[in-house]
Amino acid sequence: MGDDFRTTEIIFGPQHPGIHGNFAFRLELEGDIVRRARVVPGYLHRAFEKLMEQRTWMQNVALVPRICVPDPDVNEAAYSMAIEEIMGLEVPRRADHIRTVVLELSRIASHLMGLGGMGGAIGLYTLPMWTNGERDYILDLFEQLTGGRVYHIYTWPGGVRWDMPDNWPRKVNKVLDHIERQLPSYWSLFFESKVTDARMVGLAPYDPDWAIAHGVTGPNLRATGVKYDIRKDDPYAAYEDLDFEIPTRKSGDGMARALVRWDEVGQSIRIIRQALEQMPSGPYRAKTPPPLAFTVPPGDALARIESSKGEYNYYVVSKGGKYPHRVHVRGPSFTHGIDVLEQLLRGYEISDTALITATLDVCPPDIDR
Amino acid sequence: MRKVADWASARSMWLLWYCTGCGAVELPPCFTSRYDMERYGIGPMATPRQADIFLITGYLSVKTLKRVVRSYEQMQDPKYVLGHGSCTIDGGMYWDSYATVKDVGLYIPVDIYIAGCMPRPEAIFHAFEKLQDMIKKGEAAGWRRYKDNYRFYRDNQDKVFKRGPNWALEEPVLK
Amino acid sequence: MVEDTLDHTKGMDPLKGEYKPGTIKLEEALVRIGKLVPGAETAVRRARRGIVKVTPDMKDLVLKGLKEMGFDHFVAVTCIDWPEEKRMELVYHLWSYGTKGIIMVETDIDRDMPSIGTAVPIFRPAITYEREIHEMFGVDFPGNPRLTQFILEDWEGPPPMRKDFNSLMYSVERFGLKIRYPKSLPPHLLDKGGEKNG
Repeated sequence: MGDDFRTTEIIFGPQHPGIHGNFAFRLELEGDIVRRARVVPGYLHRAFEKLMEQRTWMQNVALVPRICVPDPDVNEAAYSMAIEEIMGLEVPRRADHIRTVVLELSRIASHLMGLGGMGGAIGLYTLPMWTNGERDYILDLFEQLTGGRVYHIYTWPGGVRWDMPDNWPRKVNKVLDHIERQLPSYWSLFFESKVTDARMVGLAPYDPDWAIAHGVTGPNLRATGVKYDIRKDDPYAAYEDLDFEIPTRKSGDGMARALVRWDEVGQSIRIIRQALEQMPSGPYRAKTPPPLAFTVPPGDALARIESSKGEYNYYVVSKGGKYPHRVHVRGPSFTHGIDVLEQLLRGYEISDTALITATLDVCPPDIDR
Repeated sequence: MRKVADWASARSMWLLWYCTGCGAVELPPCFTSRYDMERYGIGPMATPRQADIFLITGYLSVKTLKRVVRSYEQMQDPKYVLGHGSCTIDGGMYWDSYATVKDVGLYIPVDIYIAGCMPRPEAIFHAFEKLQDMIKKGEAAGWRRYKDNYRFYRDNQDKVFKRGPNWALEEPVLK
Repeated sequence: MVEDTLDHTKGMDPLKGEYKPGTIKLEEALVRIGKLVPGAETAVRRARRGIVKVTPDMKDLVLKGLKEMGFDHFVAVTCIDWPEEKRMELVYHLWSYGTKGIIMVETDIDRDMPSIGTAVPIFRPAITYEREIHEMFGVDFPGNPRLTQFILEDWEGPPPMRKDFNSLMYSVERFGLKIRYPKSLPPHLLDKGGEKNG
C-alpha cells in the first residue's frame, strides 16, 4: 500500500491473457496509472546451465533450442559456433549458407508472431490470426527440411546434420512469394489504422544513450537510430557474402519498434533469396569426432548472434573431456525484460503494460532459462 | 439427464488461457485459422472460474506448479486436465533438473497425456476428440479423483512447495 | 543508491540523431589498458576478441577505463566455478560500437567467501546479472541495491549452480525420479555422497 493509501498493489499474474509467455508483474497503481513496477520471473526455470554440464557436447544440441521458443535456431547456431571456435573447426561454405537460410526463416517466423502479439495486445485479433497462419507455412518448410515443426536440432558443431532436399529451394521461394503478397494487407490493417497510431505512437520512448546505457539490443536499439547489427559488425555464417540493409527508425517509441520489425521481414526475404541462389556446392559438414566420443580441447569462446529479439551470446568454457564445464547463455530479454521494462512501465496505464511488453518483444524463457 | 448434459458439455469446452511451458507455442496455430479449434466448440477463457479444460502445456517448474494448483482448485467441477508433452509424463528432457516436477499426475489428476516434444496440433485435436468420447461415456472423472484422494495429492504437493494459511492470496513480496 | 533514470511524467528530449562511432582499434585499447592498470595481462585471442586479466581490486579501474575508451555496451558477466583450483572466476564481456570488438575482463575471487564490489555504478545492466550470480553461486556484491529474490522461490538448498550441488540426487529425493539407465550418466553424479551443503 502507498504511504497515504492512494496506491494499491496488484499482481498481474502468470495466468492472464495479456501475458506473453509465463511471467508476472507486481504493479503499484494509483487509479489506472502504474507508479512502480516489479517483474517476477522464474516460472519457466529449468536450470539449463546446470543441465548442460551434465550432458555430453552433442546431447546439448537437443537441449539448447528450448531456451528461446519462437526463435530456436539461434541457440543451436550460437552453441555450435562457440564449440567450433574452441576446436578450430572450419565450417564448409555450403553449411554456412544453409545455416543462414534457416536462421532467417526463423527470424521471419518470430517477427510474424511478435507483430501478432502486438495486435493482440491492442485488441486487433485479426492480425494474430493472419500472421500465425503465415508462420505455419514456414513451420511446414522446417518440417520438410529437418523433421520438426518447432524445434529443429539441425545445426550442430561442424555444419548441419544433412543436406537440404532438392526441391526445397523451390518451395521456400513459393512461401516467400506468398508472404510478400500478403505484406501490403498487413500494412493497411495494422500500420494505417488510427487506433494503432493513437496507442503506439509515443509509447515508452527512449533515446540512444539511454538504450545503450541500459543494455538494449536488437530491433529495440535500431528503433532509436543506432545502426548496429551483429550480422554486419561481427559477422558469422554467410552474411559477409550477402547484400542487405539494416533498417532503422528515429523516434524510439512503440511504433518505431514495430516498424523496424516490419522492415526486417522484408530484408530477411531478400537475404534468403540471395542465399538460395548463391548456394555453393560441397560438403554440408566438416569432419568431427563421432558424437558419442566427442571431446573438445580446453579453452573458452564467446559466440554472438543477432536473433529476432536482440543479441544472443553464448560463452562456452571447456576443461577438455566429454562434458562442458560451463555454458552461459545471455538472452536479450535478460536486460529488456527486467530493468528496462520496470523503468518504462512507470507513468503508463495498466492497459499499456501488455502492449509495452509486446513492443519490446520480451520472451520469458530466456530470462529464466 | 446426465447423458444430455455430458453430450452438450463435450461440445462446448472452454480452455483456460495459461501458457505454462514451452508447449504453448503450438497453441496459437490451434486457435488461428489453419487448425481452427473453434469448430470443435473449444475457445479460450481468461478466468479459471469459467473454464473447463486445463491444458498443462509442457514442463512444470515448481514455481508454476503452485499457481497451477491454485488455478485448478478455482475451476468449477466438472473439469478436465490434459498433460501436453512428454515432460508431464516423467520429466521429459529435464528429468534431472532441480526445478521441474517429473510426473504431473502426482500433484493434480490428469485425464489424458499427449506424448511428443512437442505434439503437433493434430495430436492435440486427437486428444480433444478422445476427451469428448470419454466425457460422453463418463470416464473423464479426474475431478472426482481429486476430491476422493485429496490427501494423496496434498501430501505430494506439500513435498515440493509450501502452503501458508491464506495461500490463495499470498505472493512473495518483492522490493 | 542507484536511481531509476527515466520519468515519463516529466517529458523526454527529442532524439539526438545517429550515434557517432569512435576510432580506437582493439589492439590499441589493450595496450592502453595494460599501461593504465598495474598487474594487467592482456592478449588478443582472434579478430574482434581481446582479453584482460586483472586482480579483483583493479576491476573498477579497468571497467571505467574501458568505458571511457568506448566500450560502453555491457554484454554480460559470467561466473565460473573451479572447485579443484579453489577459485571462482568472473568474466565481464564488453563491446564497443566504435571499435567493433569484445574485451573480456577476467578476475578470480575466493571460493569460500566469494565477494567482489558491484559494477552497477559504472554499468547499469550489471544489476540483473549480479542478482542472478548472487542467487545461483552465492557471490556477494556489496553495493548492489537489488540483491533480492530472483528466479528461485522457497529455495532451501545451497546455491544450485555450484559444482557441489548434485541436481540428480536432489530430483531423486524430492520428486521421486527413478534412474533407469545409470550407465549413461556422468559417473561423478552418481556417487551417493554427492549432495553437500554450503
